Amino acid sequence: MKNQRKIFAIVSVIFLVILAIAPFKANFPEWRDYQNKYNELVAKLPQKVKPTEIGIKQIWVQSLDRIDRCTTCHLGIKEPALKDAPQPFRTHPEIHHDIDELGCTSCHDGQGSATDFKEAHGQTEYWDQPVLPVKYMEASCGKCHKEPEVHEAPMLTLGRKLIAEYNCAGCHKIDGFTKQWVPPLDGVGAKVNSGWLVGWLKNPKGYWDHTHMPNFGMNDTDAHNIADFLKTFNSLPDGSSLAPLPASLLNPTDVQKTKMLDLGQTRFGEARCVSCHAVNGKGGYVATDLGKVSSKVSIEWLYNYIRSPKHLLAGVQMPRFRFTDEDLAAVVLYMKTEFVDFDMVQPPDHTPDPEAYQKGLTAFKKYSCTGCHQLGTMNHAEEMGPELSFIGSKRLYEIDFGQSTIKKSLPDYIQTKLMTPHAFSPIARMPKFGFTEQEAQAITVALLANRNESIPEKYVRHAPPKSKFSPQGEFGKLIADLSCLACHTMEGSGRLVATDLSLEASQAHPDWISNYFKVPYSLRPILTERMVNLFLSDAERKSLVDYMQVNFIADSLDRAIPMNDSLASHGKSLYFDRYACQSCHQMEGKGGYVGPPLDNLNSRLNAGWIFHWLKNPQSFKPATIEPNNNISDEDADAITAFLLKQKEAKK
Amino acid sequence: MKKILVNFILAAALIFGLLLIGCGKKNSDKPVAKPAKDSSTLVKDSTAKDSTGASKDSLGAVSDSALALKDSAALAKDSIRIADSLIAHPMSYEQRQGKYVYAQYCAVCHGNEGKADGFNTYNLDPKPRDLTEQHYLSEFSDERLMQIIRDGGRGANKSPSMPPYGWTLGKSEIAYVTAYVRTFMPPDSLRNLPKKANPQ
Repeated sequence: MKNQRKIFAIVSVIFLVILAIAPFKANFPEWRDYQNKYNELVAKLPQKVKPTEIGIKQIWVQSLDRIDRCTTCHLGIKEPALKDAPQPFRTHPEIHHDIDELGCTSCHDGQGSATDFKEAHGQTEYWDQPVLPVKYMEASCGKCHKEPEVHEAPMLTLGRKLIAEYNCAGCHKIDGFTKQWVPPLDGVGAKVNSGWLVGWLKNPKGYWDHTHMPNFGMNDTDAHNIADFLKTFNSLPDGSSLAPLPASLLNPTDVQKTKMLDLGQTRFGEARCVSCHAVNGKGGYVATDLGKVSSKVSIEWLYNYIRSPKHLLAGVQMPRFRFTDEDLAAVVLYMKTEFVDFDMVQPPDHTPDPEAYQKGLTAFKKYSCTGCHQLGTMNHAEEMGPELSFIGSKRLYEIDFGQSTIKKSLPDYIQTKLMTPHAFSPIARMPKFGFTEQEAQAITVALLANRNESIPEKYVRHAPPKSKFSPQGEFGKLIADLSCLACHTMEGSGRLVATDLSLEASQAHPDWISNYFKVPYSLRPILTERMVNLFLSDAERKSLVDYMQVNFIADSLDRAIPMNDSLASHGKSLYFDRYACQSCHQMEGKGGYVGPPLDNLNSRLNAGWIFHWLKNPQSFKPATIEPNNNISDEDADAITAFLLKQKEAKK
Repeated sequence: MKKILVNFILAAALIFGLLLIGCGKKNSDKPVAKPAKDSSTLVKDSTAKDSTGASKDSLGAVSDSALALKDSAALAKDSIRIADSLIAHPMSYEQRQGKYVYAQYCAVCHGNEGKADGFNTYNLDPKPRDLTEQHYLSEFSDERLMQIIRDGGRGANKSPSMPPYGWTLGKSEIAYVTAYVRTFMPPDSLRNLPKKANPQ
């Protein structure tokens, strides 16, 4: 009996202690400590900041289905006085969104309802989407912003650009991306020689640094088989074959040859081939390096290609230069003689395996070459890679990290996969693209934005519909043949490598435009890409200018400005002393290099256009560095008068 | 009697066991917070990471009190590791955004590194300000720098060669680029930044 009582007493005491611990624990959670520290902190601030009431705080966003208790500890996010305070109290940087409207986890990820540090931020047993590291932060912008360019999210923008450029959509299905143009392979047998092709297949970057073709780590047998297989495709997509070479190219005499080489070199320079092509690394990089081109392609192909590029490679951006027959032969001869790879070892004559076609086709399919290239009717990847439309929501248990020792997280997985595709499995099919770390990070950011989350339509910003400018008739045919839209923008279509031409006739005099086609020159001293000389005929130049005069013009940009000397001299003092235009523009050989030189403007620009440009440069060219000076109408008139008068005086 | 005793002990053990299961895991997972004087904390570490050093200096005594925020040793270790992986970035959000604005609008004259060696400076007179010059910029408050960027040289009693960007860039973009420009200066020079706009 005595024993019984003893046991009873002991058990009771244990019982009471345990019961007491539970409320004690609930009363002293981690966040309470932070809130007390916050109150201590704000009490010491010179500014008056309201201390917080102890208790759990939360932001409830019904439409996004988020309950975020982050503000329980992150107490100062809206308090500007805590700009330099240590975390977790620091002010949130100024962003364009209202935190109360979006909550915290919509952008930062993490477990919003948790009130414990590790649960909220980290990757725990039941929560594998931890807070997004800062370097991948812009991925969250991409959840709602579906536009290709997202202002203030440069990593995301770069990532999306790279996904398009490297044609990821060739092998992976990704929402918002479609397959890009890649040279079709029909007729490739008549184009390249096998020695080059084998080398290219094994290491494309070895021939051209800027190529987007990845390295498949192909072995010799596969490369040879594919090369032999491709060499059997000799006829063009429309079934025709290459036109024969002219007599002057076949066997020129030595005298003729010297003359032709001189002429070829001149025309090659005049046409500005190096605007797009580099020659041994010097020049543009939008098209392949020409430095060793004659060791790559046959002279017949080169001749036919320059004569009519789009006939040989449908969809290519190379314009058709209007070379005369003599010029064309000279340019081809020049390229054939000069642009040789002297180091290339010609492989010994090799007899193709009798089963090369079948073996080559198998290898061709194995590497999914048709994911990017079209060959006959084959234009889909033989075996697609996994769909990437929702990769940002991939759960950790779905990822096979293999033997890899990297941090087990989704962003690390994606970035590592991009940089070293075989890091997780030696038999992975993805080729190596040779991304730099920054590029891989940017693509990771863009991919992480592809979530399987339902976001209400009111939050989503879609890509603007692509306007397709397709003028008809003479002008339409010309700009297609000349690939104007490969560099210029017209009516919202095209690219912005060069100027937007949609208001060209309001901007420049028709005579000036016509002459510019004849002798194009770079308006700005700092630009690398330059307008090519297409050797247009007079009739062609007239068609282009006539069309612009009717369509690329806005009456609202007209303005009558009194061109008198007193206004011009007032303009001069404004130009030099008030607005200091000379810090960016050259005039008579003096001044900065950012903007175009302003000599001879009278023969180039219209008064109304100068006036409106001065008033608001960004309305014509959003990315221009010239600031909006908030200039008055009087000042803009005076500067316009000065700019247009100054050369007249000199004449 | 004996039976009752056994039953009672069994029942007590059962309740005790249940309680242990209920509270025990949490107990072992996260010991009740106790100030541990030497353990470094999440807060301290993240402050030290701040590359400009501004937070420590400008808040002075205040951040000291925040440094006193101590957690249990176990939590602190984990927290630091997680927090490090999250915020490990040498620049703040404002500075990162400012870097892009700077590259677009400022670098042609002030140079990529702020050394006033942009390609456009060749013919410029006076030369643009070297932003790494600590004696010069450290005299200016953020408000004054933002005013110069907004109103240009002519609105701030300086050379008109510096154009005004107040009608081109938004208020926040100007604040971003100001924050970025500060990264050119040696951290020491940020210690005594004036708090208010200089009268000028």
